[in-house]
Amino acid sequence: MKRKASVRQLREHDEEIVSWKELRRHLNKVTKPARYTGGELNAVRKDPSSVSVRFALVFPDVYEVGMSHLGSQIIYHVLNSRDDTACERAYSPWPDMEELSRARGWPLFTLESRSPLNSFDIIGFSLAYELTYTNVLAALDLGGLPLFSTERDERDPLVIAGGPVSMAAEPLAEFIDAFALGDGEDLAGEIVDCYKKWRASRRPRLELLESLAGIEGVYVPSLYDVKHSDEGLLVEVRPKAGAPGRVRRRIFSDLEKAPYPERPVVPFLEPVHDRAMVEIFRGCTRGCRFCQAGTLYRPVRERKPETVSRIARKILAASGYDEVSLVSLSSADYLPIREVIEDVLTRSPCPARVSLPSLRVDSFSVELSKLLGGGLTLAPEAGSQRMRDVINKNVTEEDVMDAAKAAFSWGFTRIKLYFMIGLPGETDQDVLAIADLAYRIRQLGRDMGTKPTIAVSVSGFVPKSHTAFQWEPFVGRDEIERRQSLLAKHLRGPGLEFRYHDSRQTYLEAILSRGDRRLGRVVYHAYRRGARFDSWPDMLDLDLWLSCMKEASLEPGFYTRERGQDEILPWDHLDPGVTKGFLLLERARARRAEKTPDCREAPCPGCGVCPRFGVAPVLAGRDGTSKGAGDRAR
Amino acid sequence: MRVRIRYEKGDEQRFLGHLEVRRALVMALARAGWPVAMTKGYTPRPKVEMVAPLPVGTAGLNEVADVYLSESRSLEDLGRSLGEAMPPGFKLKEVWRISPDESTLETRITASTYRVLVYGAEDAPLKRALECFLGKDEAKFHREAREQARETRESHDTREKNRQIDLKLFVRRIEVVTSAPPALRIVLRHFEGRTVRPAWVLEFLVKHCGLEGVDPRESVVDREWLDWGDGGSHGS
Repeated sequence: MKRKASVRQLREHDEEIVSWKELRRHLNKVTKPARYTGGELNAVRKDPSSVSVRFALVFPDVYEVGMSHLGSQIIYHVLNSRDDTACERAYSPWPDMEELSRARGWPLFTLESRSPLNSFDIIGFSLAYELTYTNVLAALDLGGLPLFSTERDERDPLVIAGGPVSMAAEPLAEFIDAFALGDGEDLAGEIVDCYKKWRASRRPRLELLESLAGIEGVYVPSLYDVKHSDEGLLVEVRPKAGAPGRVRRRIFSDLEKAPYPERPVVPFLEPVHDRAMVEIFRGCTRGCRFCQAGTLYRPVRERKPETVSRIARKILAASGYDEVSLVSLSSADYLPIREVIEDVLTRSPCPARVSLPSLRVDSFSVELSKLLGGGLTLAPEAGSQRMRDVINKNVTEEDVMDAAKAAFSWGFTRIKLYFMIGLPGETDQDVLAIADLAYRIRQLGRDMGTKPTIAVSVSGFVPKSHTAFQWEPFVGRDEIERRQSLLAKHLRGPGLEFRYHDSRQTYLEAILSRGDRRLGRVVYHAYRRGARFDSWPDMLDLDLWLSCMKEASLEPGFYTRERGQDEILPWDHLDPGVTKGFLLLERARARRAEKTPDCREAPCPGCGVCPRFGVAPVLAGRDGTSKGAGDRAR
Repeated sequence: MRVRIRYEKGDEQRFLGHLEVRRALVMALARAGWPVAMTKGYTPRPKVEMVAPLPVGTAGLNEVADVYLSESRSLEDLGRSLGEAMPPGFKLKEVWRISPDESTLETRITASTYRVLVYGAEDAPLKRALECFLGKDEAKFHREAREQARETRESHDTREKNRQIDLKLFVRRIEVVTSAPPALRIVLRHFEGRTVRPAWVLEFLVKHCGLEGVDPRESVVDREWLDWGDGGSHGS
């Protein structure tokens, strides 16, 4: 109750922004103060009195990371395109800034108007990864909002969250009023409309939540009662007040009609991805069984090549970037990729490079890399053919060696290779196959007269919700480390580099990403005890997290174990479109190391998205509207 | 073609570092469509020479940079297009042509004039501290080793030697110009590209001249103008 009083107090001074004079005097005390000063090119500053809804878009990580996030730029653009809405941005303050803010009494404020978060109508979090949960709580707390949804009343902002993690963010269920599932292009505006209507009605806050639950794609966790058995198993998720039994993810069916930030906000501080981004398609048809994005963005929807080129030219002219990234989950799958690259290279308003964030393992992708300049990264994901078949990474040994051969003949001497360890059914032999593959590629390079460097990068596999592996156990932190050192022992020698991901983070991610609502208490206590920026290896305090779990009488092993196929999973009431039956089928195929072909080329494997949600793959470069099977020659 | 631009790094962009300012200028030049020449080598970069870099936290009312162009353009066109393309918080003030053979400006800068807003001090004690400073024969200031190591590529011995700087050699003029809060005007010399920061002078005043209640990090520093050899001086 005490905390709530202080929030009320803050709200009485809603109009009070953090003054520039105050900020200017003290910001020299923190690292990279420009993270907090805004004023970027193409940032949208609207007069608050000229709009009816003020929306604060919060990315729960540091500025340079948040500014590289395409989804946030899209939502910022969509909301600011509305005359009645002003969307402003805020990012997590680095601990030195949090400390200074608390000392000076500054709330977390937006960059555009330096208004405190609690002066907004709606706060929208962008959830890109699970290890930002404590930053979400920090942002709410520093923004002057009650942390728990139930503590907020009619005067408090509506707190929503979107992004891929929203599809399984039960640990945040008590803190977030509503999750926006799936594509936000239409959904963001519908939420704003719903909010406006409710505010005009002057009805209780509960009615806002109930009407939000009526929007397709909005999940209001407080309208679902969850019951656990004594063993902790989820036994019931019961909707209340007319909320749907399952909430469907939203799909924006035609990207050609989607609004796109052609004048993106250009940060002064170098963002982690310092380039213009054009999304060439959404969704991926490859069907890798470990990949959550592969489920959550189905079906594949491509933009037409002329649209991609036009957007690229506009962004370059409006930003001054010297590089355009053609973004998607597998950019080499885009049939007209070559013509788009050539168009961007030759017809840009200023000289610009092109980069592709995600390439396939084949000689075509290597050729593209050469065309674009820069390094070469290939992701076979697993070392042995058996494992690659298990995960449905449709890459053969021959593809890998062909790609490597092409790379050396094109003059690459350094090849980066990405793998995962800890995959379902993986043996030591499979792990050592990674080293073996690296050796053979190095030998190939030597045979071709080069002095190759093979940089192997390995991360631990975390089973994710909404994938064929959602029931699989996480192999354990010790086991991940054992396999890492097994590999390290074998990956030694000239021309070999080996890097691996922090196993502590992998472990925490494995706990949180299949977490249930009870983990909310753990997130809460971890936040209260100082956990922040858990996705930053230097910042993560795993012992703190584990002791918070102990205090909450929750076992990490409960979350990392294998799940029963008849168990109710904490995200089962959120419908990605892909059916559970299909995921189970895929799991069975994985166990038999059986492949499922790409739906771009082969007959429909029956994942369920298209018939159930009334959508269809959209493939550009042919008739541009619908898919046909088998005729996409590469 | 080589042109020199004079621009403002404004109040609200004071927290940008030198590299960020460079990046902002290069992107503005791209938006303006200037045919900027590229450096030779494996990773060609736009040929833009920044002069006398400003630290994070300092605004600059009359900063200077040289831009090399691969083809000639009229100064009028260049000025108009870049003026429109400057990012928020920056202003283009002047564009003029200089000889491509002219030696680099960096080593020819002779002085920087700063205005420093000093929070936490009254006029009288500040004036007393200045008198104390001006009365000293030397004012040895120790730079933080960490800061120095980051900024220079000098050898260990040179670094150790350079860590100790006599601020008196650099301060050409220092005076109180306004009050409540008081502001100082400080003119600092540059020697062959080397100079000192107003915040260091302030730190010295706090540590050795009895100035109380002042946290040098809280000072607000604007560089008003730069002077360089051949009588060239820009700024108001």
